[in-house]
Amino acid sequence: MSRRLRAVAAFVYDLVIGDDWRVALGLAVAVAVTVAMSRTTFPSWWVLPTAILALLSFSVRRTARRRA
Amino acid sequence: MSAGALFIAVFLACTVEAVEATTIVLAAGLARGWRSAGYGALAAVAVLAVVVAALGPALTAIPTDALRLVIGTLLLVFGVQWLRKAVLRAGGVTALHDEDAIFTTKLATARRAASHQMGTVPDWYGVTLAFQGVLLEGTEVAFIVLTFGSNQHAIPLASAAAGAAILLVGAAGFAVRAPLARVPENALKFLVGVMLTGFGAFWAAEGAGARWPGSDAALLVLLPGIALLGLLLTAGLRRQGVARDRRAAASPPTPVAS
Repeated sequence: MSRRLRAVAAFVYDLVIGDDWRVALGLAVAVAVTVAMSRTTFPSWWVLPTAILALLSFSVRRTARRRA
Repeated sequence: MSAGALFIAVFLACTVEAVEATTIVLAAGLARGWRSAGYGALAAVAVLAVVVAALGPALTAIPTDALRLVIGTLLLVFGVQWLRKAVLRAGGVTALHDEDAIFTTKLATARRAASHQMGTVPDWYGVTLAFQGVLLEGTEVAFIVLTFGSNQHAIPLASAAAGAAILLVGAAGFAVRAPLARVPENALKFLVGVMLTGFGAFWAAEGAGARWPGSDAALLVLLPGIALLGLLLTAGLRRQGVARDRRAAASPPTPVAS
Protein backbone atom coordinates (compact mmCIF):
# COMPACT_ATOMS: atom_id res chain seq x y z
CA MET A 1 0.00 0.00 0.00
CA SER A 2 2.72 2.47 0.99
CA ARG A 3 4.58 1.63 -2.23
CA ARG A 4 1.47 2.57 -4.24
CA LEU A 5 1.04 5.79 -2.26
CA ARG A 6 4.68 6.65 -2.90
CA ALA A 7 4.17 5.95 -6.62
CA VAL A 8 1.09 8.23 -6.71
CA ALA A 9 2.97 10.96 -4.80
CA ALA A 10 5.91 10.66 -7.22
CA PHE A 11 3.52 10.92 -10.19
CA VAL A 12 1.78 14.03 -8.79
CA TYR A 13 5.19 15.59 -7.98
CA ASP A 14 6.40 14.91 -11.53
CA LEU A 15 3.13 16.25 -13.01
CA VAL A 16 3.05 19.54 -11.12
CA ILE A 17 6.60 20.28 -9.93
CA GLY A 18 8.48 18.63 -12.81
CA ASP A 19 12.24 18.53 -13.28
CA ASP A 20 13.21 21.69 -11.42
CA TRP A 21 11.68 22.23 -7.98
CA ARG A 22 13.40 25.60 -7.68
CA VAL A 23 11.13 27.00 -10.40
CA ALA A 24 7.99 25.75 -8.62
CA LEU A 25 9.20 27.12 -5.27
CA GLY A 26 10.17 30.47 -6.81
CA LEU A 27 6.78 30.84 -8.50
CA ALA A 28 4.95 29.94 -5.26
CA VAL A 29 6.97 32.65 -3.44
CA ALA A 30 6.17 35.13 -6.24
CA VAL A 31 2.43 34.40 -5.88
CA ALA A 32 2.71 34.92 -2.10
CA VAL A 33 4.49 38.26 -2.69
CA THR A 34 1.70 39.25 -5.13
CA VAL A 35 -0.93 38.44 -2.47
CA ALA A 36 0.97 40.52 0.13
CA MET A 37 1.55 43.47 -2.21
CA SER A 38 -2.07 43.48 -3.37
CA ARG A 39 -3.09 44.41 0.17
CA THR A 40 -1.03 47.60 -0.07
CA THR A 41 -1.42 50.58 -2.38
CA PHE A 42 1.54 49.47 -4.58
CA PRO A 43 0.76 47.82 -7.93
CA SER A 44 1.52 44.09 -7.82
CA TRP A 45 0.72 42.81 -11.33
CA TRP A 46 4.41 42.98 -12.40
CA VAL A 47 5.65 40.46 -9.80
CA LEU A 48 4.65 37.27 -11.69
CA PRO A 49 5.92 38.33 -15.16
CA THR A 50 9.23 39.31 -13.54
CA ALA A 51 9.40 35.97 -11.69
CA ILE A 52 8.74 34.07 -14.94
CA LEU A 53 11.51 35.99 -16.70
CA ALA A 54 14.03 35.41 -13.89
CA LEU A 55 13.17 31.80 -13.01
CA LEU A 56 12.84 30.46 -16.56
CA SER A 57 16.12 32.12 -17.64
CA PHE A 58 17.91 30.86 -14.51
CA SER A 59 16.60 27.29 -14.84
CA VAL A 60 17.28 26.97 -18.59
CA ARG A 61 20.83 28.36 -18.30
CA ARG A 62 21.59 26.25 -15.24
CA THR A 63 20.46 23.05 -17.00
CA ALA A 64 22.42 23.95 -20.15
CA ARG A 65 25.60 24.60 -18.09
CA ARG A 66 25.27 21.30 -16.24
CA ARG A 67 24.83 19.33 -19.45
CA ALA A 68 27.62 21.07 -21.38
CA MET B 1 -10.85 34.83 -22.23
CA SER B 2 -13.21 34.14 -25.12
CA ALA B 3 -14.78 30.74 -25.77
CA GLY B 4 -12.72 30.43 -28.97
CA ALA B 5 -9.43 31.10 -27.16
CA LEU B 6 -10.35 28.57 -24.45
CA PHE B 7 -11.17 25.94 -27.10
CA ILE B 8 -7.91 26.51 -29.02
CA ALA B 9 -5.75 26.45 -25.85
CA VAL B 10 -7.25 23.20 -24.55
CA PHE B 11 -7.34 21.63 -28.04
CA LEU B 12 -3.63 22.26 -28.69
CA ALA B 13 -2.57 21.10 -25.22
CA CYS B 14 -4.61 17.91 -25.56
CA THR B 15 -3.27 17.26 -29.07
CA VAL B 16 0.27 16.97 -27.68
CA GLU B 17 -0.81 14.47 -25.02
CA ALA B 18 -3.04 12.55 -27.45
CA VAL B 19 -0.11 12.03 -29.86
CA GLU B 20 1.92 10.48 -27.01
CA ALA B 21 -0.97 8.27 -25.86
CA THR B 22 -1.73 7.17 -29.44
CA THR B 23 1.86 5.93 -29.87
CA ILE B 24 1.43 3.59 -26.88
CA VAL B 25 -2.05 2.39 -27.94
CA LEU B 26 -0.73 1.68 -31.48
CA ALA B 27 2.17 -0.36 -30.06
CA ALA B 28 -0.28 -2.28 -27.84
CA GLY B 29 -2.70 -2.83 -30.76
CA LEU B 30 -0.08 -4.00 -33.27
CA ALA B 31 1.74 -6.25 -30.81
CA ARG B 32 -1.12 -7.63 -28.69
CA GLY B 33 -4.29 -7.19 -30.78
CA TRP B 34 -6.64 -4.27 -31.35
CA ARG B 35 -9.40 -5.57 -29.08
CA SER B 36 -7.17 -5.61 -26.00
CA ALA B 37 -5.69 -2.20 -26.83
CA GLY B 38 -9.20 -0.81 -27.41
CA TYR B 39 -10.48 -2.13 -24.05
CA GLY B 40 -7.52 -0.59 -22.24
CA ALA B 41 -7.78 2.80 -23.98
CA LEU B 42 -11.57 3.02 -23.49
CA ALA B 43 -11.30 2.06 -19.81
CA ALA B 44 -8.71 4.81 -19.22
CA VAL B 45 -10.84 7.41 -21.05
CA ALA B 46 -13.83 6.37 -18.88
CA VAL B 47 -11.78 6.79 -15.67
CA LEU B 48 -10.63 10.26 -16.79
CA ALA B 49 -14.18 11.26 -17.77
CA VAL B 50 -15.41 10.26 -14.29
CA VAL B 51 -12.61 12.30 -12.67
CA VAL B 52 -13.52 15.40 -14.72
CA ALA B 53 -17.27 14.89 -14.11
CA ALA B 54 -16.71 14.50 -10.36
CA LEU B 55 -14.20 17.31 -9.81
CA GLY B 56 -15.58 19.81 -12.33
CA PRO B 57 -18.78 20.85 -10.49
CA ALA B 58 -16.92 20.83 -7.15
CA LEU B 59 -14.29 23.22 -8.50
CA THR B 60 -16.80 25.63 -10.03
CA ALA B 61 -18.52 25.92 -6.62
CA ILE B 62 -15.36 27.51 -5.12
CA PRO B 63 -15.39 31.36 -4.96
CA THR B 64 -13.84 32.84 -8.14
CA ASP B 65 -10.87 34.65 -6.54
CA ALA B 66 -9.78 31.64 -4.45
CA LEU B 67 -10.21 29.36 -7.47
CA ARG B 68 -8.18 31.67 -9.70
CA LEU B 69 -5.39 31.94 -7.12
CA VAL B 70 -5.03 28.17 -6.62
CA ILE B 71 -5.74 27.01 -10.19
CA GLY B 72 -3.77 29.89 -11.70
CA THR B 73 -0.72 29.06 -9.56
CA LEU B 74 -0.91 25.35 -10.51
CA LEU B 75 -1.30 26.25 -14.18
CA LEU B 76 1.61 28.70 -13.95
CA VAL B 77 3.98 26.12 -12.41
CA PHE B 78 2.81 23.47 -14.89
CA GLY B 79 3.14 25.85 -17.85
CA VAL B 80 6.63 27.08 -16.98
CA GLN B 81 7.80 23.45 -16.74
CA TRP B 82 6.33 22.73 -20.21
CA LEU B 83 7.96 25.84 -21.65
CA ARG B 84 11.30 25.02 -19.99
CA LYS B 85 11.26 21.52 -21.51
CA ALA B 86 10.34 22.86 -24.97
CA VAL B 87 13.11 25.52 -24.83
CA LEU B 88 15.73 22.95 -23.73
CA ARG B 89 14.69 20.61 -26.55
CA ALA B 90 14.56 23.33 -29.22
CA GLY B 91 17.92 24.68 -28.00
CA GLY B 92 19.55 21.27 -28.44
CA VAL B 93 20.29 20.74 -24.74
CA THR B 94 18.00 17.71 -24.39
CA ALA B 95 16.85 15.25 -27.05
CA LEU B 96 13.65 15.95 -28.98
CA HIS B 97 10.68 13.71 -28.17
CA ASP B 98 11.03 10.91 -30.76
CA GLU B 99 7.69 9.14 -31.32
CA ASP B 100 9.28 6.64 -33.75
CA ALA B 101 11.89 5.55 -31.19
CA ILE B 102 9.31 5.30 -28.38
CA PHE B 103 7.02 3.29 -30.66
CA THR B 104 9.81 0.85 -31.63
CA THR B 105 10.80 0.28 -27.99
CA LYS B 106 7.20 -0.22 -26.80
CA LEU B 107 6.45 -2.55 -29.71
CA ALA B 108 9.52 -4.73 -29.04
CA THR B 109 8.72 -4.95 -25.30
CA ALA B 110 5.05 -5.73 -25.97
CA ARG B 111 5.95 -8.51 -28.43
CA ARG B 112 8.24 -10.21 -25.89
CA ALA B 113 5.71 -10.26 -23.02
CA ALA B 114 3.78 -13.47 -22.26
CA SER B 115 0.05 -13.67 -23.14
CA HIS B 116 -2.60 -14.02 -20.43
CA GLN B 117 -6.28 -14.43 -21.39
CA MET B 118 -9.08 -13.87 -18.87
CA GLY B 119 -12.82 -14.00 -19.63
CA THR B 120 -13.71 -11.88 -22.65
CA VAL B 121 -10.37 -10.06 -22.47
CA PRO B 122 -8.07 -11.73 -25.00
CA ASP B 123 -4.81 -10.37 -23.61
CA TRP B 124 -4.31 -8.62 -20.27
CA TYR B 125 -0.86 -7.28 -21.17
CA GLY B 126 -2.30 -5.38 -24.15
CA VAL B 127 -5.14 -4.01 -22.00
CA THR B 128 -2.77 -2.90 -19.23
CA LEU B 129 -0.28 -1.30 -21.64
CA ALA B 130 -2.97 0.75 -23.42
CA PHE B 131 -4.73 1.60 -20.11
CA GLN B 132 -1.55 2.86 -18.44
CA GLY B 133 -0.46 4.85 -21.48
CA VAL B 134 -3.79 6.62 -21.93
CA LEU B 135 -4.28 7.18 -18.18
CA LEU B 136 -0.81 8.68 -17.65
CA GLU B 137 -0.93 10.99 -20.67
CA GLY B 138 -4.63 11.64 -20.08
CA THR B 139 -4.08 12.88 -16.52
CA GLU B 140 -2.45 15.99 -17.99
CA VAL B 141 -5.44 16.37 -20.33
CA ALA B 142 -7.84 16.14 -17.35
CA PHE B 143 -5.70 18.66 -15.44
CA ILE B 144 -5.80 21.15 -18.33
CA VAL B 145 -9.57 20.66 -18.87
CA LEU B 146 -10.27 21.17 -15.16
CA THR B 147 -8.01 24.21 -14.72
CA PHE B 148 -9.03 26.08 -17.88
CA GLY B 149 -12.66 24.97 -17.70
CA SER B 150 -13.27 25.75 -14.03
CA ASN B 151 -11.63 29.18 -14.26
CA GLN B 152 -13.92 30.17 -17.10
CA HIS B 153 -16.93 28.20 -15.78
CA ALA B 154 -16.86 26.33 -19.11
CA ILE B 155 -15.92 22.73 -18.29
CA PRO B 156 -18.25 21.30 -21.00
CA LEU B 157 -16.53 23.46 -23.66
CA ALA B 158 -13.05 22.50 -22.38
CA SER B 159 -14.11 18.82 -22.37
CA ALA B 160 -15.40 19.17 -25.95
CA ALA B 161 -12.04 20.66 -27.04
CA ALA B 162 -10.16 17.78 -25.37
CA GLY B 163 -12.55 15.23 -26.91
CA ALA B 164 -12.08 16.75 -30.38
CA ALA B 165 -8.28 16.57 -30.04
CA ILE B 166 -8.38 12.96 -28.82
CA LEU B 167 -10.77 11.88 -31.60
CA LEU B 168 -8.78 13.66 -34.34
CA VAL B 169 -5.38 12.34 -33.23
CA GLY B 170 -6.75 8.86 -32.44
CA ALA B 171 -8.42 8.59 -35.85
CA ALA B 172 -5.27 9.78 -37.64
CA GLY B 173 -3.11 7.31 -35.73
CA PHE B 174 -5.52 4.44 -36.40
CA ALA B 175 -5.71 5.36 -40.11
CA VAL B 176 -1.95 5.34 -40.69
CA ARG B 177 -1.22 2.58 -38.12
CA ALA B 178 2.07 4.31 -37.30
CA PRO B 179 3.24 6.89 -34.74
CA LEU B 180 2.35 10.45 -35.68
CA ALA B 181 5.99 11.48 -35.89
CA ARG B 182 5.23 14.33 -38.34
CA VAL B 183 3.19 16.26 -35.78
CA PRO B 184 5.49 19.14 -34.72
CA GLU B 185 5.23 18.06 -31.11
CA ASN B 186 7.93 20.34 -29.70
CA ALA B 187 6.57 23.43 -31.46
CA LEU B 188 3.11 22.60 -30.08
CA LYS B 189 4.58 22.03 -26.62
CA PHE B 190 6.27 25.46 -26.82
CA LEU B 191 3.03 27.13 -27.87
CA VAL B 192 1.01 25.38 -25.17
CA GLY B 193 3.71 26.18 -22.57
CA VAL B 194 3.38 29.87 -23.48
CA MET B 195 -0.42 29.74 -23.15
CA LEU B 196 -0.44 27.81 -19.86
CA THR B 197 2.19 30.15 -18.40
CA GLY B 198 0.43 33.29 -19.61
CA PHE B 199 -3.08 32.35 -18.50
CA GLY B 200 -1.73 30.86 -15.26
CA ALA B 201 0.10 34.10 -14.39
CA PHE B 202 -2.91 36.22 -15.37
CA TRP B 203 -5.38 34.23 -13.25
CA ALA B 204 -3.01 33.73 -10.29
CA ALA B 205 -2.35 37.49 -10.11
CA GLU B 206 -6.07 38.29 -10.39
CA GLY B 207 -6.87 35.74 -7.70
CA ALA B 208 -4.15 37.29 -5.51
CA GLY B 209 -5.89 40.65 -5.79
CA ALA B 210 -3.67 42.31 -8.42
CA ARG B 211 -5.26 44.45 -11.12
CA TRP B 212 -3.73 44.12 -14.59
CA PRO B 213 -3.27 47.33 -16.58
CA GLY B 214 -5.89 47.23 -19.35
CA SER B 215 -7.66 44.28 -17.68
CA ASP B 216 -8.04 41.34 -20.15
CA ALA B 217 -6.09 43.27 -22.82
CA ALA B 218 -2.95 42.66 -20.70
CA LEU B 219 -2.97 39.11 -22.11
CA LEU B 220 -2.20 40.59 -25.54
CA VAL B 221 1.14 41.76 -24.14
CA LEU B 222 1.75 38.96 -21.63
CA LEU B 223 1.44 36.03 -24.07
CA PRO B 224 3.69 37.46 -26.85
CA GLY B 225 6.14 38.58 -24.14
CA ILE B 226 6.45 35.04 -22.77
CA ALA B 227 6.78 33.63 -26.31
CA LEU B 228 9.56 36.15 -27.03
CA LEU B 229 11.37 35.16 -23.82
CA GLY B 230 11.18 31.48 -24.85
CA LEU B 231 12.47 32.25 -28.35
CA LEU B 232 15.35 34.38 -27.02
CA LEU B 233 16.37 31.65 -24.56
CA THR B 234 16.22 29.05 -27.37
CA ALA B 235 18.35 31.25 -29.65
CA GLY B 236 20.87 31.75 -26.81
CA LEU B 237 21.15 27.99 -26.23
CA ARG B 238 21.64 27.35 -29.96
CA ARG B 239 24.39 30.01 -30.16
CA GLN B 240 26.16 28.42 -27.18
CA GLY B 241 25.91 24.99 -28.83
CA VAL B 242 27.35 26.27 -32.13
CA ALA B 243 30.20 28.07 -30.28
CA ARG B 244 30.98 24.90 -28.31
CA ASP B 245 31.04 22.79 -31.49
CA ARG B 246 33.39 25.29 -33.16
CA ARG B 247 35.72 25.25 -30.14
CA ALA B 248 35.72 21.44 -30.12
CA ALA B 249 36.49 21.34 -33.87
CA ALA B 250 39.31 23.90 -33.56
CA SER B 251 41.06 22.37 -30.53
CA PRO B 252 43.85 19.84 -31.27
CA PRO B 253 43.12 16.19 -30.38
CA THR B 254 44.15 15.21 -26.85
CA PRO B 255 47.27 13.01 -26.91
CA VAL B 256 46.63 9.50 -25.61
CA ALA B 257 48.84 8.59 -22.63
CA SER B 258 50.90 5.46 -23.27
